[in-house]
Amino acid sequence: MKEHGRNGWRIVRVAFFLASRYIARTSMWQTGLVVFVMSLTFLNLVVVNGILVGLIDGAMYGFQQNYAGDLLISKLPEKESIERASTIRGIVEQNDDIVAYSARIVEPATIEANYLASVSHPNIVPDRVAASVAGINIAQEESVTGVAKKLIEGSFLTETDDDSVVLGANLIDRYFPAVIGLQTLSEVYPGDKIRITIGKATREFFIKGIVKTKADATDLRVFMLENQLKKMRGGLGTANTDEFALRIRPGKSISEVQNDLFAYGIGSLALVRTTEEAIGEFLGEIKDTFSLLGNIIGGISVIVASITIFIIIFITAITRQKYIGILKGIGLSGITIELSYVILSIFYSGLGILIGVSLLYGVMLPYFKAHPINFPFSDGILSVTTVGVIVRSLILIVTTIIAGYLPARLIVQKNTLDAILGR
Amino acid sequence: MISGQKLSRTFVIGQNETHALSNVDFSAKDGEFVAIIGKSGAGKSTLMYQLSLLDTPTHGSVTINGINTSTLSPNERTKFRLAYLGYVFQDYALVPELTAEENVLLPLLMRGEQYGYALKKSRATLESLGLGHRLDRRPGRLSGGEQQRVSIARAITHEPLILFADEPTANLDTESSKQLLSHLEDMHKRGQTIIMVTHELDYAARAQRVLELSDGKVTREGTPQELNLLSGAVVR
Repeated sequence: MKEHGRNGWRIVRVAFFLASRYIARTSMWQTGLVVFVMSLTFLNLVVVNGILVGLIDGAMYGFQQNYAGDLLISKLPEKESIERASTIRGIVEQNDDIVAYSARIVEPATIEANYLASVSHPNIVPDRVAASVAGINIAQEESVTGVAKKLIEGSFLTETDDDSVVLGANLIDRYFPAVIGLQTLSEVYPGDKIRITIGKATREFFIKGIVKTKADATDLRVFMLENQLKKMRGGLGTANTDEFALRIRPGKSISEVQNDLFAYGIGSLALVRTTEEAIGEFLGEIKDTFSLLGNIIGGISVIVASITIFIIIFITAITRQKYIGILKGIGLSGITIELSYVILSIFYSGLGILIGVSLLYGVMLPYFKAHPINFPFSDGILSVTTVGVIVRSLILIVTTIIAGYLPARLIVQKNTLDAILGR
Repeated sequence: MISGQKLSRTFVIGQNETHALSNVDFSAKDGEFVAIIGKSGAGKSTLMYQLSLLDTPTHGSVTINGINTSTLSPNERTKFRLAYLGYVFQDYALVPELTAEENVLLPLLMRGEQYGYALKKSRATLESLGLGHRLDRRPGRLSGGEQQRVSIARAITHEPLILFADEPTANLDTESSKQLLSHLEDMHKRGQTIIMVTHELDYAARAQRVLELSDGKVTREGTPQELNLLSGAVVR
């Protein structure tokens, strides 16, 4: 056993000696080119997947930041509003792990614009869209979501804006070109009047601002003060709430807080969902599909990298088969020589990965964080996890080890004398 | 002591068989200097490859230091070569990426010697061959004679039982060849067993015993005087 250990160490030492001298004294251009290919392969493996998954993660992040919060309590599907909302509010306020919440009243409504023009010009049909109107407490909303910071026109509501609303950008045709079956408002700007009908109540409001968050749940809404919505609906007290968006203390497990709320029996009164649950399986499935797509593209690049390494090692070994024969002739074992080529492959992929990781964490991640990719439905981020990087690095290293070992073995297994004599 | 019994080597190329060696018996005592001569294609290199375990005979066996090598596996033959044999090749066969001293210390490292000791020993061997000023030169920056001396240093640094030299002067000028022969003679005087293949009778004449091959068979054997080798003659 001890003898095997010594022999193994001797083999590794000589293989490392040969590989290190080869690396140090071979053409810098050749080494640079192979390492460059390996860096690109690593980035392809990590970044393509990261961008594809990042699109969905970005959408989920936007949904969480601009609409749902960390946990969203909403009415049960068969109910008109959350039952015993004041009790739930009390539980929420007493939970130390919930640092903020926004209680919203949400009502379906019809929004009309350009209706004054249709009075003087009967041939003009006023724009009319169906939308949700959210009655909000501005301070609460500010503490949970960033809607007020996502204004693209005008300004946000203040506590005294009784006759104003803020529109989601997807209700307006210049931000969301009409698609079949979905109506939008045309030519509406801050300062214009619109007419909102909730049930039997109709009232005019000024448009104070327009928000665009890329979260459809928000961008298809109209925001007004909570008390104005109550007035329009009539007969509503604080007991009437349709949504609670909760912000959880940073570092605290969201599912733990969710379980705490379930423990109070809230689950029988309302839906208590995380962002992923609230956004639905649809995006999760897209994320899985994109991840698979990214892995396929990355897999192709791994195959290309493997072939590159195979060719490089094969050419290196075949042009040096005479020396390989001589090394065997003077007593170096085949495994020692094969291992030297494997070390060479590990060096190429290892250095490539090191450069790739440096570019990833030093340049790309900070860049994408500062400049998210502007997609219509999300601000695409680069979704990269440390575990993902480690796994992909290992895949690349293992693949290149195999790709380096096979050609080396092909040449090393050749008859020693034939190799020496070049037969 | 090394001996080869009834050594035959047949190469099959397509339908054709070439008998490079036929029933050759060979032996050399410890400390002996034997030269193998013959015309081109006579089978002298083939005989050396069988004796030095670089090739396996079609028939016959090689015994070195009392060990019948025909029973050894390829891995055992490699270990055997590392332990007991040294080689000087016709075209030096140095690893181009390694310096002179690194080429020489390679067999020592493979035998498990510490790097520091191996380096010290390889330097001492190179210095004994007059290459103390060329230690860190790579083969490409050495003359042919210097490269061949590095090759000798690599072959002897681990103190092999037998040193095989395959046409060691073939690529050298006269002066370098003479120097090389002097080194081989010095080693022989110190007790090194040497088996050298050459086609130059002048150099063969400096061995203790000469074996002449023709068409894969031993045609003559004896001391240089017995074979009446002429100074300066070359076997073609």
